[in-house]
Amino acid sequence: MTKDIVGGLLMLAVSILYFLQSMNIRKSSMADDVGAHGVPQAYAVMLGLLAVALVAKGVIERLTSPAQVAATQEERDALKRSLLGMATMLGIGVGYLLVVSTLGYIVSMVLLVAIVAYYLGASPGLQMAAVAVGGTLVLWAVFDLLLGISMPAGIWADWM
Amino acid sequence: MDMLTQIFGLVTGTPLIAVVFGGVAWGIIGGALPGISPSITMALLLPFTYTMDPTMAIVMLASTYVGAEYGGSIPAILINTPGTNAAAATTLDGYQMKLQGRGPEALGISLYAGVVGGVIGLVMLIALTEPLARVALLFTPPAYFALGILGLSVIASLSGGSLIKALMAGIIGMMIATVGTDPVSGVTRFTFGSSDLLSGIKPILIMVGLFAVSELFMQAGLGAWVTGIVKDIRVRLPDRAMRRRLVRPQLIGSGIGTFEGVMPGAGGTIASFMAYNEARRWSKNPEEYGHGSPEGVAAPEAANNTVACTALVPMLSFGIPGSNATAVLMGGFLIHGLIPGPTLFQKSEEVIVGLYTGLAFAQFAMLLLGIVMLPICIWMVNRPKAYLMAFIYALIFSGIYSLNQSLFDLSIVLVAGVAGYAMRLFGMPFLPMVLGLVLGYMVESNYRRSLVLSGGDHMVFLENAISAGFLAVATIFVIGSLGMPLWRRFMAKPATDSPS
Repeated sequence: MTKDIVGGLLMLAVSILYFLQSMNIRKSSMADDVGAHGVPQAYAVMLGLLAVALVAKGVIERLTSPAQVAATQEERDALKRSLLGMATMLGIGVGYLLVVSTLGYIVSMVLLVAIVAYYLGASPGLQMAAVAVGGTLVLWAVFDLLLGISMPAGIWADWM
Repeated sequence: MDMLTQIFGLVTGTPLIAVVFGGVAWGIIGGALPGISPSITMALLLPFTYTMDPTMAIVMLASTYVGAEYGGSIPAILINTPGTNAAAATTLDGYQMKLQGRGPEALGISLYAGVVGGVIGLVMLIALTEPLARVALLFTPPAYFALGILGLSVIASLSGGSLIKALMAGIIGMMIATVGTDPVSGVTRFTFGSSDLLSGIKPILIMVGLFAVSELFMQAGLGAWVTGIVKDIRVRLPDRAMRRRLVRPQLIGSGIGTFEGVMPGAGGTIASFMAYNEARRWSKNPEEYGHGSPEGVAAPEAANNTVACTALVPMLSFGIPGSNATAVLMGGFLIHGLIPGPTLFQKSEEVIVGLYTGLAFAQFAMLLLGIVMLPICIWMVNRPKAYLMAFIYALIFSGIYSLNQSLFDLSIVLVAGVAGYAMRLFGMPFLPMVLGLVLGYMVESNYRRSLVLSGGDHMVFLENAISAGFLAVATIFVIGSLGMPLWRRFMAKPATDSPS
């Protein structure tokens, strides 16, 4: 199957990178026979071998029954939708991380809730604003006021 | 007497009962939302427990697990969509009963059987855990290494479609466990110069990313979920005649739930389907199954609620989480500096007593909240998915930040979310990765300590009786897990080939 081949190649790349990185582990005078790098390198080799096996399995399945493994147009469209959904949600999350130190928790979280809700199909309007602002204030009250955890204040630090 | 004093002190001197009710209520709501599994429900709650007293935190998480197992049956019965995987068997007869206008009765049977299953599970948990933990106190480094291998051998039974993918997931978990300071020599590994990684990657960050964030990423590419559950439905608990009728399926369900819960990797889903099948096999009216049989609701519900207690046995005795939900609970132990396993009984006995007491109250709380919370669950399930998902995303960001006030932790959770999404796409199971993550350190450190003690002789693992025993059991477990499907296929072949 194509998924197995792609997944196997990804895992092979991970195992190679991990192995290369394990070679940079500093040698210690306190080290035992196995050493700090020994077990990680064994993991990398095992993962590499399994990845090769998965790729081989995928290739064999593709060669022996190509009709069964070919994805339909519908499946390809669903995968594209799913990947786009994941990338957008991830992008919103990364955006939050980038702005929260400046805009502060409350403003950043209102934006996050509103943007996610809009992306998932909610219509912009009073209801969305109420959910975004209300939801954020509830969370802020629970964490900041009730649990005493100081959430990022950003540029509003002097006001809070 | 000392124990009774402790329990009395917990009930009167701590907010235990409020914590139990809060946990069960949260669990019922989470379990009732399709796609939000017990493990996700617990993972979302974890950050809130961080500032709590450790005993109360563990009680709240365990109560959530209990509540979520019942909550899953609400959409299973009302809209034929199980809220949790373990509730899938409940749809078979529960939804049929609802179509026949017996929805309130089905909900009542599910609740009643769940409470009975939970009580039996709790008794088995108390009876089994401490004796096993006492054995574990005799362990030396080789035995701990072998115990870790035994825990990892469960991966063979979790492979589902592909053993290769399950093994890969397990190894990736162990690779993540190597990040940080080396357990023997003290040098740093895979930290890339970041001080945030010196103490390693906290399992809870990976678990929240894998279970909760990846689910949100998946949901973002799907359509809106089914809503429109009838709003005026109520729970009707079974009368005396019905309770007598349900005794047999409940005992079958609880028996299977005990066995499956204690076996790491089996879990509530397998238990509930097995219980359904066995209850039908031993029923006086097997033809009613699938057409709205009350026994068909009681057996799986008793089974998965029994598992909610007995699944804690391997975690509390040996420190091996046997399911996703117990892995998250183990994360709760770890963030409070508690190490599940035999030493927990010596060092933190009050946590164990609190957990048992909390679980006992959780069964009664479930009976009450199962009735009271139904309208709230129905309201929640009927909310637009867009707002619910947005709020859950906000909850994750707020909760994870609150653990260490660290934006770096949030980035780890996002990376784990992407990894979880990719794993879902490629059909890689999560639990092997979680097992690798939580057992990786134990396996590596005890492997290397054993070799240091034996002067590099690997025979130390076979010369130690406990270690050799565990390794033998692990081997049998792997061979059994791999051999059973082949054996079944071999046995089924003549029947398939037969001309009749």
